[in-house]
Amino acid sequence: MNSLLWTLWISLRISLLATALVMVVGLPLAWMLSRPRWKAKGLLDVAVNLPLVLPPTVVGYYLLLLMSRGGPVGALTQRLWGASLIFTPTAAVLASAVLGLPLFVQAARNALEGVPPEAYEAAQIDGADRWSAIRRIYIPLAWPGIWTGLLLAYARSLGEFGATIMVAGNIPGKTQTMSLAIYSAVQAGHDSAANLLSLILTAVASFSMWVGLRWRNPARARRGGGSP
Amino acid sequence: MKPIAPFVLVVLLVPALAACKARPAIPPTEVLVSAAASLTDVLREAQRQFEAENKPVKIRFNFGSSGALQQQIEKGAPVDLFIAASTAPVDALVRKGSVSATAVRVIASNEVVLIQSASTPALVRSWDDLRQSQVTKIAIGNPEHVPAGMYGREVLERLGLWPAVERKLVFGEDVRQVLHFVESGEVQAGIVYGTDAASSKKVTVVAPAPAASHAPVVYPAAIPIDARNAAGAKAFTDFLISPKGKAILGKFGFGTVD
Repeated sequence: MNSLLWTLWISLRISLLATALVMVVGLPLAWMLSRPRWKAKGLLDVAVNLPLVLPPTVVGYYLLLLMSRGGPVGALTQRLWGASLIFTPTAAVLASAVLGLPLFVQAARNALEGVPPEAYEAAQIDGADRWSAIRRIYIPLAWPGIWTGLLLAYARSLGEFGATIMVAGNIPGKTQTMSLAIYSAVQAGHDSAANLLSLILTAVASFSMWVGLRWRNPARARRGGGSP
Repeated sequence: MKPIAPFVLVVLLVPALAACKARPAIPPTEVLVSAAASLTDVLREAQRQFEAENKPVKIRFNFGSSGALQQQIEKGAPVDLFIAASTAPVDALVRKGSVSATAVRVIASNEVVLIQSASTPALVRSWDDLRQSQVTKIAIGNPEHVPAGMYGREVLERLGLWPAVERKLVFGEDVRQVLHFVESGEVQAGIVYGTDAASSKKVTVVAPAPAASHAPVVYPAAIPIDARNAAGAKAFTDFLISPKGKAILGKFGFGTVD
């Protein structure tokens, strides 16, 4: 039971950190993609969406190459702290973030594109500079879409399997998430354990999506219930 | 509405950065063993006895498919011992220089068997019966990457059955999936390892594959050149091929090698 709770904690921690990373990296990307045509926009668009098209194990293999000693990320971490990220929870966070990024960027970008130009013009007349317009006009008005994107990235991360097992391994107590534990239980022929794990993952996923969707509701957000 | 995005960002970013800070990957008393998923139960049992006798050494497992585990070691994953379900992935690592040929020892063997569901009327009584027209679906592991499927194809080819059964084959992505297909009665027969057949009450063994019909099914244990705890890995391998280790392997239906 204890190890089950620990596995659940690993899963939730990786998913939440991956979601945070997606937000930090994805919001500027969504902003850039929501602006009118500029050079190389199409290229960025394709690059961001690529993980959606490729099978997760292929994404995992690419990430493994990047993180290996010969790869750019591996060389960097080797120089910084003399170890590779392979088989660490950080690798799982990165894998989940890469796969969740396109889902977030699509939702956030659509929402940012939907902000009426008049709102921005009005803010400019009031003397707002570009940054405070983003902060005070665009992000609040696009918030339901941004929040939906975060939920999608979180959901994707909680169910992530193929890329995670490639780069983070399947090490119980360290990098084994609920999804990986279910795989292991099935492989070992422990069907009742697999059923129990699946049931718990379903319950946790349903609960967190229910909470998340309530927060998305703009009516609640206006009353000040929008911040977690 | 207040601009809450920066607030959310900071709250979520702090732990994210904290998680990225450096930490030594593995303490020196730990042995990280990448092992084929089909060995889960037998290795856990071996781990219990080994750790009790070798304090403070701790075994940590990374279970997966032999092919994926091979890729990880090739790319420098910090693995101390690799136990594969066939010789191919270990041979590949030896060729690529990640494992020295002298650091490979076979720890166990297995049988290839033909099974059918225990609950449906027996349709198949021998390998030759797979030719019959009533047998429409036969499950084997995908011979492209599932070791049990590679052996399965070899057996079918040597017995001259391949042309007759090729169109009836349903590929499982691992040997457990093959077992599930047979258990559920979705297919009339399947090819798995003896240990898999023994682990399920819902299937019966029709016949083992003739010994000469396939390469021996062996489980090699290899210590990568970059292992951080080669001594610990060697101690665990020694334990597996000791009389105590052999008793555990035998209990789970594995053959042992001298």
